Amino acid sequence: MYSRLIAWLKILLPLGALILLSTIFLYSRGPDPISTIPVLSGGGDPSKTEQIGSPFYAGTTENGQGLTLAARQARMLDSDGAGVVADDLRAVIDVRDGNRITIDARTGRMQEGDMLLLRDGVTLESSSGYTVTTNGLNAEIDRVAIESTEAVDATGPGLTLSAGKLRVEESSDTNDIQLLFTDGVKLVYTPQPNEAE
Amino acid sequence: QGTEVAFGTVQQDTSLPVEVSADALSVSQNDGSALFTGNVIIGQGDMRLSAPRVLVYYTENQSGIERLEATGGVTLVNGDQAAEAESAEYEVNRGTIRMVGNVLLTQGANTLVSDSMDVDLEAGTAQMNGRVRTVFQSGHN
Repeated sequence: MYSRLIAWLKILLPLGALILLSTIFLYSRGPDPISTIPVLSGGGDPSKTEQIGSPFYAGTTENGQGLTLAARQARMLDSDGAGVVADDLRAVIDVRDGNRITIDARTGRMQEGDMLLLRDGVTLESSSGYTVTTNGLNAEIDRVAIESTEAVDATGPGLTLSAGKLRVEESSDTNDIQLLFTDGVKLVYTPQPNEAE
Repeated sequence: QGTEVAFGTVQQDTSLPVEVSADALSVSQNDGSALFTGNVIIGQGDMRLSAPRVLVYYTENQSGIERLEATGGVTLVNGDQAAEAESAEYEVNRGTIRMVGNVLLTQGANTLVSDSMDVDLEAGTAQMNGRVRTVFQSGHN
């Protein structure tokens, strides 16, 4: 009786093991490759919202001033796709004789015709010691011609000033770059008496 | 030779902030010089200096304004006295104004004319030098 039982066991046990093993491969969950891929839902057309990470543009203006534009991110304008909007933009103009104008803005929109519209939180720093803050600045990128669209406030060496408008342009004769504050300028300077001695 | 004249009613505190208002200001990038144009008025305390053009000279280390050079016909008013000249140089930190070019100083009724005049705002005095001529309004008032 005992040996018949062992004989049966010798057959049943390996057979059971085989069945158990097969369930791992033969009856596993049906793999569904399609549903696991992250697909853009909501029917958005991906080509419309393509973005360029940290775009960088470098060029020179007509008479040799170096200009570089860098931004955190640039994206196409979805409406007509004509303009490009850049966020946290920084434009740097290197004047030939080593001076530099740096412009930071939260958003910059590139229109056709090489015009860059810088908006909200625009600061312009020039190496001549002037820092200008405003809300709107239009800058051409093929030559140095920057114009503010709103009133500006500025701080200079030991002084603060506010003006109706700021224009940065190249004076044709000496090809030196000038910051022109117009539409009424108010400047306040507190003298440092100890300077006098 | 020159004559010492009281100018301005009270000693001027020259550490008061200087305000400059003008139509336009142009700052050149490479040498940082700044030029105010268009009825420029420089004010400190009750002193007003007005001129069509004012050029700003910075201190060497670019930390502040050293002097303002007003040209093209300058008028300086301080209290009830007024002075006119062709040009004026205002040393901001030292609080002195040097007016040059047929200076005309009116004090109440009488007027003084000279070639140049040094005004010390702090002490409230004006030193007129060169040929000084005075014109007295005699009689009627």
